[in-house]
Amino acid sequence: MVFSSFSFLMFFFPAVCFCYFIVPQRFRSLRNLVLLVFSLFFYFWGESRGVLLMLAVILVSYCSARIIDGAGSKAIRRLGLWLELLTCLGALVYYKYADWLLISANSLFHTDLPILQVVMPIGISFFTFQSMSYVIDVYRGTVEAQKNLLNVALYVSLFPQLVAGPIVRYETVAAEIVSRRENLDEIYAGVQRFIMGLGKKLLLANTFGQEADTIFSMASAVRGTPTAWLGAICYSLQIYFDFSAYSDMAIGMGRMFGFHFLENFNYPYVSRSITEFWRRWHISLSTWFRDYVYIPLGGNRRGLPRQILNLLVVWALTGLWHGASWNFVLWGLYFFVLLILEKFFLGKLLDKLPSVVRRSYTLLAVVLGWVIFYCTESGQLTSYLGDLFAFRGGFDHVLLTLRQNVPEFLFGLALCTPLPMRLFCLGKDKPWGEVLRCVWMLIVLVLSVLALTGSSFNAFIYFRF
Amino acid sequence: MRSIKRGFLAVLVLITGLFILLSFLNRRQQLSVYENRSLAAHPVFSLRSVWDGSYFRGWDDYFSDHIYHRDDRMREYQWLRLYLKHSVTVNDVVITDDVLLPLLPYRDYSSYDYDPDANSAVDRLTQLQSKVEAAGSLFLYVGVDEQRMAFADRYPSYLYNKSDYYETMGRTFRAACEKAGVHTLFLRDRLSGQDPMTYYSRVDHHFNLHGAFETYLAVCETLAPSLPAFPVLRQEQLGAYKLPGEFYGSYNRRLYDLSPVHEQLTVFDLSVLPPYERWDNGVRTDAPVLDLPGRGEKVQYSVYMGGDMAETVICTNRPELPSILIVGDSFTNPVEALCVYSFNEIRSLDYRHYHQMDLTEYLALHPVDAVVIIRDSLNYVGSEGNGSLR
Repeated sequence: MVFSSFSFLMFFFPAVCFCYFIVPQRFRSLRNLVLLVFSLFFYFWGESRGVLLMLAVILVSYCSARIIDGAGSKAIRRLGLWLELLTCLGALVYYKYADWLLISANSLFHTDLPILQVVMPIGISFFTFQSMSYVIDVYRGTVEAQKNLLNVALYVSLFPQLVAGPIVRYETVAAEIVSRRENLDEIYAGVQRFIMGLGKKLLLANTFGQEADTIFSMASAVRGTPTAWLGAICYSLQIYFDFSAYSDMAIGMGRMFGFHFLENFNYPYVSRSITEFWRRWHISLSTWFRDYVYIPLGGNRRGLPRQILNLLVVWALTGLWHGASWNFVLWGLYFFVLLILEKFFLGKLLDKLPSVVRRSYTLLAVVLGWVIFYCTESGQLTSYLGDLFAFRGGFDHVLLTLRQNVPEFLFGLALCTPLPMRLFCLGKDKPWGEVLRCVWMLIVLVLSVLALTGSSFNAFIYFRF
Repeated sequence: MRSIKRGFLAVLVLITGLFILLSFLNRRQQLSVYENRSLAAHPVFSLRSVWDGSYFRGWDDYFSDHIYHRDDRMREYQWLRLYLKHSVTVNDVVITDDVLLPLLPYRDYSSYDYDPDANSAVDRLTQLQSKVEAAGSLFLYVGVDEQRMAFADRYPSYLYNKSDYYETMGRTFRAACEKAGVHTLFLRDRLSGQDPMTYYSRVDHHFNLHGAFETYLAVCETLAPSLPAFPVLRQEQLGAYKLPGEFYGSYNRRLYDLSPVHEQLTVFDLSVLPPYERWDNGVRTDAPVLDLPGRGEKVQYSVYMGGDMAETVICTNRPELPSILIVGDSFTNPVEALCVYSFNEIRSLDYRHYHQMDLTEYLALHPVDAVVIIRDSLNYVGSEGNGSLR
């Protein structure tokens, strides 16, 4: 079930809100139980087979943390940690990467290993990463092991962040799981954030996605350079609005239920370097890799060659985390190269350049990165990159796309900057400002519902009732 | 400030609650006329469907298809796209000043090899022609341009009309037919140089009555020398007139009554036809060959023959006249209706829906004087349905 569906908006979410808020606030455990049951049902709805895997991961995480917490010796503590890591990474490798590894091995070594045809459970990358962070933190002693299995289950399976993040650290919500207050201001702010996310997804991301898919699927001969650039820009806008919309909705729903998840995006497209971009893009993932991979590998404390190696590992894994395909690895390594260049050479040069040049460089590099991200086949990638720099083709399709989507492009480009949010917050403590915000939210909600209805259009020419 | 927030949340809960309640209480609509499809039905519970996820996917479709006054919400959304955003394409329909066309995805056909598809289709045709002639019937393959080809030049320059593919495939197919000695007739030869507006619908992918009439005339003229004499309708006998109300074609229907291009469907005067008996799928019916809509009913292409049927048999009880079998999809419908004037027995098969026997078996059971295959230009080389040429 996705947030931007009628099943979620008309059935699931009203039901969970009703059942949750009808329970008096003092019965915290019961409210948590409501959230847990609905979270498991949410996952079961979209991934009936995967729910058993998620429950197994929850159980192992709970046991591992308890083993680590109660262990007297370091060896047993390590055993608990390894149990968790082997379970989560094992599940991740098997469900997400096994077939890709087998296909790659067959292609590389000319073998004929059978493909397992494993179906990857939705959200596995998120719930395994959350579970691992919890147990590692318990191992490090930064958080206490949770004594109640249901609370661990709630932390891992909480539906707002279950299938598309952000990757919530246990320490962020540990206290709120047992003690939090849901109040009017929080609910209001949460609803506001959710509606904004819904609008970003349905009104912007889907539109840009449609245009990007059209252009990326064109044959190279008819695409031409201007259209290819437009496609890359549309995809860059789609991926930002899609992903950040889900984070907005997750953060918004979390607030309604009294949780405060950390921000996952901070206007990444206004960054002045790739280093800055990665501080603003999918923050929960980059900090996860920093804290649980880069620093444990030694970070920058073991000399320059080791630091470069550590960065290489982190960026190859970051790429691979996004999908089992070589283009994601390439995408990760592309950013590794850019970051290394910035760290040792380009950074100092960039500092001397005007802001507009730095931003343009970053945008150009990021947009090219998204082209690598999109093209899962090497032929498609080379052909597309070739089109971007071929300097041929007309502007017909560009004009059509721009003409058809004037409001989307205007709002989309503006929303990549903090300016609209500043406007949105005008008159923050004034009644007129609040009324304007309410009206704006209602408009976004109505347009989103219409767009959602419109997206269900599915005409058949040759069909008898 | 708190009262504003409280008020907003109250309004939101009220509106959402009401919308949900009305959606659940709403009288269930089974069909979407605009989308030409059945709406999603209640999913059926079973452990298997739950386990494989189809049960919940079914609910997703169901909720999506059955929100309160879905057609109205759709129409509002299309209005925004048409009249606020001034979109050139809406729901995959290209909107020009005077004609609606399908939006076609870009594809590069510059290195496409047309011969294998064309030769394969012509091989099937040649074999069929031999079988039909062996059964003692005349054989005629009729090719008609589909609406998008007739109006290919109406596409805005920045949109792809796919005519590179259609034209080359058409030429290759015709050349292969000529080489193989297939008896063919291509309507474009007859309509060449004439305004396609006269013969094609502006809001639907078919030809209009005049296009169908030209097809009928061409077929009659081609068959006449080899068949016993039969009467042929003249233009002035048709008594063509426009049905009141908007014609819901396959394209303007997608625009939810908001199409800037309008058309009324033209039909002919039924009284020109002789008395006849009709069987649809083996069942005797009183349905006329023109299923004229009642008051308030939407005018659709299914006016002709009442829509697509697997098998239709019409008998005019005039044994001195020849009999004809027409094979094809919906392009045949108005032609069949006109043929009632000229032939004693008119049979039609639509192999998208007819699965009982192949053409040889059918002809052995129901011999006819002539077999006419009518195909539109998009399907010259297709091997599905009526392209299987079984």
